[in-house]
Amino acid sequence: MDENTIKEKLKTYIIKEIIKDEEYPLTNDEPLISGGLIDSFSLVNIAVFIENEFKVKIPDTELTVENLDTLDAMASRTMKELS
Amino acid sequence: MTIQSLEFFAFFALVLVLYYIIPKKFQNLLLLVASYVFYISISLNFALILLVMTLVNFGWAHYISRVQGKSRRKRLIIGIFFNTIIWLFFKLANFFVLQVIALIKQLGLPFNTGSMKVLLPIGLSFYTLQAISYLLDVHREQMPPSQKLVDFSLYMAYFPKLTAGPIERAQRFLPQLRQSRSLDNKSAARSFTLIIIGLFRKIVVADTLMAVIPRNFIQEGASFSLLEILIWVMTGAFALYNDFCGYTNMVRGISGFFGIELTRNFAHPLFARNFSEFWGRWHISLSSWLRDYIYFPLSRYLVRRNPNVKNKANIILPPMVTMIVSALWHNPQLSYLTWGVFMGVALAGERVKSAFRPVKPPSKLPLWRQSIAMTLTTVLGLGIPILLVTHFYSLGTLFQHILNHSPWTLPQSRVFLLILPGLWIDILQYRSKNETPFMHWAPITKALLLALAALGIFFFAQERIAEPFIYQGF
Amino acid sequence: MFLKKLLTLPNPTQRVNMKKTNHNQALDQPGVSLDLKKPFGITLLLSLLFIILFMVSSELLLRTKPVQEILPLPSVGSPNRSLDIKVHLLERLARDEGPPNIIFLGSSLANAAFDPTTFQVAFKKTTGKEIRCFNFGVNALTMTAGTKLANILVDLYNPEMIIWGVTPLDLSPRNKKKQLIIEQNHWVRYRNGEDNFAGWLADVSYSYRYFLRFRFWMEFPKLSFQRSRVVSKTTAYGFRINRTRNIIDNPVPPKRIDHHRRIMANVSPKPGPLAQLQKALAKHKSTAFILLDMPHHATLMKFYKKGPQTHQQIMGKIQSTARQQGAYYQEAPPPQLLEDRDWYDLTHLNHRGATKFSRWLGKKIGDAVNNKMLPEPGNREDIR
Repeated sequence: MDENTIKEKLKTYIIKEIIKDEEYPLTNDEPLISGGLIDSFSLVNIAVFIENEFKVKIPDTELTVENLDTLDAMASRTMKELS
Repeated sequence: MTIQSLEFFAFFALVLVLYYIIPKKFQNLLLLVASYVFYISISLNFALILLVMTLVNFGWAHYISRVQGKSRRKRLIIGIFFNTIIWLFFKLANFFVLQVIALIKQLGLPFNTGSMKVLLPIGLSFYTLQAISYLLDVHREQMPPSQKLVDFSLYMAYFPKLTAGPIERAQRFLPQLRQSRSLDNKSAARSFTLIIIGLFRKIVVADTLMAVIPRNFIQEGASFSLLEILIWVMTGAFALYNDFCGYTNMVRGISGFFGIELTRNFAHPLFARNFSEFWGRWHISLSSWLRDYIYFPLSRYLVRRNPNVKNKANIILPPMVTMIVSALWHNPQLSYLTWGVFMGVALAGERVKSAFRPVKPPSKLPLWRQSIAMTLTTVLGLGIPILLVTHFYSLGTLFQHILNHSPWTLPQSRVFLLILPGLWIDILQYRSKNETPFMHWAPITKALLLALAALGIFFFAQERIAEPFIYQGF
Repeated sequence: MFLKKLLTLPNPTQRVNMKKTNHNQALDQPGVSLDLKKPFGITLLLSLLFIILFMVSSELLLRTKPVQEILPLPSVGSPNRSLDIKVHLLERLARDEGPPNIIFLGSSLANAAFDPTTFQVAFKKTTGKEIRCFNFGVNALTMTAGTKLANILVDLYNPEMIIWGVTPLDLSPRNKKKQLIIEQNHWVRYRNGEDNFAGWLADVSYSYRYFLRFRFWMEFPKLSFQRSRVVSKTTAYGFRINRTRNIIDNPVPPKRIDHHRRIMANVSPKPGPLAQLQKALAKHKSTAFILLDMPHHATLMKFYKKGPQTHQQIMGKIQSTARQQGAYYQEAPPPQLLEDRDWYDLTHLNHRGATKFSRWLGKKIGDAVNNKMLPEPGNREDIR
């Protein structure tokens, strides 16, 4: 699986289940956590989605702004776990 | 010795000089010795308790890491249990001792109750959480157990953060001790600036505001208007914030001189626009600990069971449990428990909103709405908890006074003379996204500001005027 | 070697994620080195210069008359309002007209009873001598605290006479906390030889004194306002002029009378204050001390345990202490001098009573000077 596929899947999930606005123009570098779109609970939802979808676990202590603030960062972190 | 005392700064200066004289390989050991000297100056017994906890946790982490599977988990649970029991014993001991003393007196038993008292070791609550997070991280294989007892002991006992945090993570702290670092002009200037900001917040803003707040404004609520009561509550909250933030600034600055970066504990909580944001900005080392070791694991467990974001248990349980644990960590009393429940309900309420409606980030709201949100969050996130925690048993009196229409008067404006400088620092830091924005100013401006801050700190640090007696007629 | 082995455990066998940082990896030269380069400390140096500049200019400015007229009276950090007021009014008098020849000392009774202007006039009429007086009556002053203030007054102003109005209550303080407020003030302690930094600062720095005043306002705004009102009603010679009430038009409430009854019945002199008085009198031979039995309303005399006898007994001790140390003792005025209209309450005179009493006292002291029982004041060259 490549990083772009991961990004797309994450984007679809976040727009539908977290932001709940299918028209939302989410970009790959939009700050999700620091921008207030995603709170800590939503982060857990995303982490569990990643677990179920990509079969990798991002540890609780790594669910941070530094690691997961943008779609790019999320995809990159997921790739890191995969490889 | 307290962190802002002359004795402490003399001690710090001495340790600092020695630190840069001795060979590098002994620096960590020096800091460890200094930390124990500092703690022993408070109490030898406290130091012994810390030593025991350090040795046990150091060895136990290795014990955990030797096995896998259920045994590993069992050992972890025992380790956490040990730390928790020690902490609970000291937290609750005095409460029970007082009940026992009362019982002994009531029964007329021939026991000397004079010396029956259990003091809570200063810093125990903080280094207990550090120990637990260490065991958990080792268990989760996020880090191997430390091989150096000196390093681990320093992680537990490091004197700048020993008495009131920040609560450090071993993953962040220990690697610094093994790295080659240097204290250059920039880092020295930054550390010094943090110390000055910290001293200013603590001595000029916080201590003076605490002295200005009328002692019995809740109990004597009838003499104060509702607006005045609110102002005094918020003044208390502001004083608490500056006290704690000031302390953290100081210890981070002090630690900076040793080349050790401590976790930032506050990120302008007064500008939070909702409770979730507030808890990301207030006492960050504690809230991130709770988030990583209670909130996230519990949330993950619930979401795995039922991934529906609208599931009630998923929405309510994690914030509720987390805030109750937080409250009880502060103090296992009814007033704190009420505060924990209040915050849990507030956070769960926010979750309900975002579970059912499209999310709109606060930064995209109009400025006036953001301002209102900030004000409300500060009042409800800081003011109400202060009220609950410090005046829990007088709340009935307060409501009575409010309902009986306390006289309407304008509050005294003098508190703003102290609030404004503190707020100004926050605004500068917030807008520049920099804890030490003054460092980039022109040298003359910096020097003037430093001079004013130093004079303010110097004058306000002198002994306070004793409370006057009201002389009859004259 | 043994210590190193003891402190280092063998590597456990476990799966470690190699992608994570190995915390145990010993890097090259772990530790912190000092890497400070020149220029270093320029901001610190500049700020030090600013501090010196600010302190020097503020000290100079705050000592000038025009600035002091605008600002409220500064403070030596005492919560005792009248101490602060009297310290600074006396300072101003000494600056504007010269140090006083005679200082009146005592508690609130003295504060109310000594009218310096009337005393001066009566004294001049009796002796022909022009003198300057100041009322340094301080509320809640006890004998012990009084000795501390006497030391300061002699030290700073070297008055020719100190007229000290005393009562049996001065030897029998009731509230230890109140008593200690003056004695524990850092400036009072400093001026009495107990070195302390805050006291030294209050002594030398007007910036600090004004800061203390600001701080008092911050913490006790209502009392601060009252303080300003008192100052506005006090003359440059330390006398408060607005006490016009009397006990005929405003009878003393029964509760207050009971309060006096309780206090007077329990008056029992302690040896400590007398010893302190003795020490102070022995120390200051260049200043003539006059210990004056302050007038009491007749009602109060009855409240002593043994009536007027108790009063006489206690004042007798003060009298003999005074005589032993070569100080002058002045009896209280005759009862017929003061009538009910002269009393603000049962212990304090009002303005009318103060005028009568001060006139009487001025003549009495003048007579004592004429009869060579007291040294003649008013020979100082700085009297205008």
